[in-house]
Formats: sequence, structure tokens, C-alpha cells
Amino acid sequence: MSLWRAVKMLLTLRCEESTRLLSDSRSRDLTPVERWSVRLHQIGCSYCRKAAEQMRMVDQAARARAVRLRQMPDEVRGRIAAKLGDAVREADERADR
Amino acid sequence: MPDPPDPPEVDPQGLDPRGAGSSDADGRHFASEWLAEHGDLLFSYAVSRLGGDAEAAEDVVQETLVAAIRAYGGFNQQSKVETWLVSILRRKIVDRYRAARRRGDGEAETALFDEHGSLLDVVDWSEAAGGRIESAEFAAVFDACLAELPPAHAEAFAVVVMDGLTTEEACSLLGVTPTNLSVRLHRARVALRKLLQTRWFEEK
Repeated sequence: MSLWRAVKMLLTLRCEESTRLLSDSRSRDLTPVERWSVRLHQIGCSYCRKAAEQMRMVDQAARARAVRLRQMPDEVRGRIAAKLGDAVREADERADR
Repeated sequence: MPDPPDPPEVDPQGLDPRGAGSSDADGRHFASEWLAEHGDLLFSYAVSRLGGDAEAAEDVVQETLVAAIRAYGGFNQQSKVETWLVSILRRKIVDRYRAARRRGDGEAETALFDEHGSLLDVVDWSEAAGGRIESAEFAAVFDACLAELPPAHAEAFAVVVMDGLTTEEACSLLGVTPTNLSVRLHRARVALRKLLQTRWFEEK
């Protein structure tokens, strides 16, 4: 990154770019310029300070939701079992030929 | 003329993974066992990734098990059946999202930033609400919020944040570049922050 672009990023980062970098930081290390840009932006932006924490919470909540186990309703199980029965019979016929 | 030899016996219980001596490499003897043992997990998994759409979840679980019957020959016996079934299911879920994208569902994205690129409406969140993210009530709210995202953003969020795929895995599964994935994840996270704030976390 050119010096000019680095300085510009440090001084003019907007919420849109700041939250993009926060999102990226969950899957890669930010560069020093990116990290400092976010920090400088957050000094003057209470929304982004809060949003940073809240976006972490969103991921955490999504993972809590993702591992929640619930029983498959009986009628769903019954319908799937019937369809599987058809698929198995088709496979049997193919094998017999 | 001598009778032809009996066909090799197929293990009726399906206890031997390869069906003793059976020449077919498919998994038809295991289908009902898979449904019995992994049905709840597959169904729960699909419902949560598909924004609570139980009908769509039923379809993808069924498609997964039918596909698994055919694909069983390629199943590496070293890995867990459950892991293998989930990887097939994930593809079916992505196919589903792709179809929604082709239909142009959910193209209208809500405004997340103002014309200067500034965030809108960020308020303090209730700690009490944050303590209840493991409840069934929260699960239902979360599902409704995920369902409101454009399909391209929802699927990116589902496979990366909920499934825990790496950037490389997610890009190859979704057929997108890392930059594109980054944009989608960003939009999904900002939108979910906003939706969850209104429907769950806001101090009332």
C-alpha cells in the first residue's frame, strides 16, 4: 500500500469500511495500517465502538443457535422414511438388472 | 446343468459396513439407520442454516440421505458417518440458496449505512437479553432474522460463522473469491446486528 493511501485510510475511514475490517478480522489478521485505522475511527465514533462488540455478540449468538438440537417431528421422519424406501427399492432394481 | 451359484448374501441388518460380500458399493442398507441415528442432528442443522424453514429443511435432509445411498461407495471409512452426512447436507443447503438467488429472492437489501457510509441506529444492548441466547425463544428470533438476509449473504454467514468453514473452504463451496466472501460476511453481520438489536437485544 502506498504511503498516501495508508495515510488516507488512517484519517478518513468511515463506519462502512471500519465494520468491514472488523468483520474481516474474524478470519484474517489485519495489517497494522488497517488496525490503526479502525482504532482511530473508533476514538471518534461511539457507534462503531458499540457495533464492534455487538458484531462479536452476533457471531457468538449464531454459534449458540447453530448447535441447538431439536427432535425431528414424527410426521417429517415418516415422510422421509417413505421417500428413502422408494430410493432403496430403485437401487435394488438397478442392482438386480 | 448345475444351478448357478447363489448370489452372495447381503447382510440384512446392514451391520457390516460393506455388506459382507455384496458387490454393490451403495449404502441402501444403511439408509434407515442413518435416518434413525442422525435424523435429529441433520434436521436441526438444516433448520438453523435455512432461517427456520422446516419444509426446506425436510427437503434437504431427504435429498441428503438419498444422495448418501448413491455416494456411499466413495465414503472414507476412516471418517465419521455423521461428518460425512453433514458435508453432503451442507452442499444441499448451498444448492437451495443458489436456487433462491437465481429466482432473485430477497434482492432488496435494507439500508445499513447512511449516504456518508455511517452506521445507523446503534444503541446499548441489554445484558439480560445477551444472557438468553441459548434459549429456544432466541433461536426462533435468530432464524427469522437470518431469513430476512439476501440469500447470498445468509449462506456465507451460515457456512463460515455457523459451520466454521475456513475462508478457502467457504470460497470453494460457494464458488466465490475471498473478496466477495468478505463483502457478503460484512453485509450479513451488519444486517444481523441491526435486526437482532430491534428484535432481541434492545433495552426495553
